[in-house]
This record gives sequence, structure tokens and C-alpha cells, in this order.
Amino acid sequence: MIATLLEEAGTMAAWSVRLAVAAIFLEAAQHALSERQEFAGILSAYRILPERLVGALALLLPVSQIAAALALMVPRATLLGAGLAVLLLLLFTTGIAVNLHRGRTDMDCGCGGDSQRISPALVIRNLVLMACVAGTLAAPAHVVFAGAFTVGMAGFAVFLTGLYFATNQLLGNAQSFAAASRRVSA
Amino acid sequence: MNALIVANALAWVAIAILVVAVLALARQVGVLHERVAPMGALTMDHGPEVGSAAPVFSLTALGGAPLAVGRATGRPQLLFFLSPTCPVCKKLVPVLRSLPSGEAGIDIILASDGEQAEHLAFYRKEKLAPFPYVLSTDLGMTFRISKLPYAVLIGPDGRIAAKGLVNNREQIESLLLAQELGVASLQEYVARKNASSGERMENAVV
Repeated sequence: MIATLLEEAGTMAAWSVRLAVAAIFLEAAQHALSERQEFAGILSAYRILPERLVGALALLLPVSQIAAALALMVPRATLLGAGLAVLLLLLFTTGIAVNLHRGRTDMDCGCGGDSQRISPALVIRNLVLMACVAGTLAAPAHVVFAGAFTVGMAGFAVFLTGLYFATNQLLGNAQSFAAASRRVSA
Repeated sequence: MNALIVANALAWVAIAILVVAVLALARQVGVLHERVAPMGALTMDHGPEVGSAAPVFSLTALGGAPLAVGRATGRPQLLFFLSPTCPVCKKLVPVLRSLPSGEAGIDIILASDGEQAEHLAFYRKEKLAPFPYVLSTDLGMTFRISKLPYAVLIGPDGRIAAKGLVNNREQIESLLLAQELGVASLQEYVARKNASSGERMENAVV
């Protein structure tokens, strides 16, 4: 009995995570595509890739994000979507970590939404996201979407999405608050 | 069983509403930070003061042409401090191009520091040829530039007319406007307006 309940909870949570990550990726991709020039500028500021590739990458990254988001939402393609999502998150996180290691903190993250500077908190955020996506691999993708399952899944997905954006906003607020405090004390 | 599903659905709706509320509150705190922050181009209280004579530099632009910065030339000079790695700077280049440059216009000078090769590549890639581009650590140090993109407007008389951190078109225009209004910065303009209308509102601008 308990084993079945846990399994069902796992399946439900996995679907919620897939939907939430899809929403997060779509938002980031939309932002990157609508501000493509600025996004390219941010990419080149990461100083990891040769300048020639930046323009193409400014298009390729958001398009891959959209592909991952769509694949995550299709039962037959969730594995592919999860793999692509983890790969993309790994790329972004490596970029941030490398630049933090270089001692550059005064740099736009380019994460979508309001501008936020790169920080260790973002690395942790991305690691948590990656762990969540990786966790969905253990759960079956094929389920019957009906009744209570759908309600629980959709509700939890909305909750997770909201939680992510609220966390992100608060991280950004903490940065602008720190900057404002510095101005006052200067 | 149906009642359970309905109750569960209602609970999720309630949670969704609460999440939206938390998100909205966090967002409002963020907006509040922006409101409290100084409006217009931010002037930092460092470096030569607005109204004082600009320090004069004789520099060499990329390409080898000599360039005098800060001298009274009868034309306003806009010093725009930038760097190849600053995305906002690149975004503002088209704004600089759109500023009047003809006889009644402004002389725009791009300033930065660092390795010449890197800047030359940037200069060619962004097609900055219409503007003289100088590399001088001294210039940045004298104006105490700590954040980019930073703009300094030097009047036709060689005095500093306005300066500040600029992040968008409006802020660049605010510098030109500040010069026309004869105030050091838009913050000062707002402060004056508040003072003259007798508002006891404390000016949060620092």
C-alpha cells in the first residue's frame, strides 16, 4: 500500500517538475530571443567562447531551451527533454562557475527576467534544478492523466514554477539591496 | 472520492493564489528598490565636480590621430566610458549614433583602458569608426569611473556640464537635458523642485 502510494507520489512529482522546468525554460528562452543583441553581448562577456560563435549561440541556446521544454512535456520524449535540459543547465552553470572562479562577480547572468549578476547562489539554484530534472528520470513517464492525478500534478507544477520565480526575484532583490546599502555607506 | 478530489483541487487553487501573492510581493520589493534608487543618470560623488573646469588631456586616438579632451572648443564634448565586455555599453552605441553630430552637434569621444589589440578588434567589429576612441587609464582615474557605461558631458566652455552612470537612452538624454536646464543632474533638478514646492518629503536620493 505504502509502496504504491510512494510510487504514485513520485510519478506525480516528476510530472510537476517536468512542467515547471518547461515553463522556466520557455520564459528564459522568450527573454533571450526578444533581447537577442543584449543576450549576445552577455554571452560574449562570459569570455569562454570565441567571438565568432557568440552570434550563432545567442540563437542556438534559446532554441535548444524551447526544444527541451517541449520534449519534457511529451510523454514519449521526456527522457530526451530531461537529458537536454540537464546538459543546458550544466553549460550555464559551468559558465557562471568559471567566471566566479576568475573573480568576476560584476557580470550579468543573462538568466532571463530582470538582470541579475552572477553569484554562488545561482550555481546552487542551477544545481538544485539539475537534481530535480535528474530525479524525474527515475519516474515512469507513461501514466493515465485523469482525476486526482491531474489535479495534484498541475497544482504542484504551478507551485514549483511560482516558487522558482519568487526565489529568483528574492535573489535579485538581495543584490539590489546590497548595492543600495553600499551606496548609503559610501 | 469525488469530494476528496474537489477539496484537493480547491487546496491547490488556494496554494496557487498564495504563490502568486508571494511572487507579487517579491516583485514589489524589487520595484521599490528601483524607485528608491536615484532617477535619471546616477551621479556618484566622486571625481571633478560638475561646474568645474574639466581636466585637459592630450591623448592619441586609436588610429594615431591626436585628440584633446576637456579643452574649451566651443562645442560640447560627450565622453563615453565603455568596455568591450559591457553589454549595456554595446546597446547604447546606436543611441550615441543618433545624437546630433553636425555643426550644432556634440563631439562624442569613446574612452576606455586596457590592451590595444582587444579594443581595436572591438572598434572594428562594432563599427565605431565615426567616433574617436581613446585608451587612457589616467582619464578614467581622473574622472573616478567605477561603473560602466559612464558619460561625462563637457560644455563648450570646457566646464563639466553633467555626468553620470547611464544605462539607457533616457539617461543619456537626461545628461543633455540637465545641461540645458543648468543643473548638475536630474537628481538635483528633482531635489530643487521638491524644495521649491515646499514638500517635506525626505529626499531618498543619496
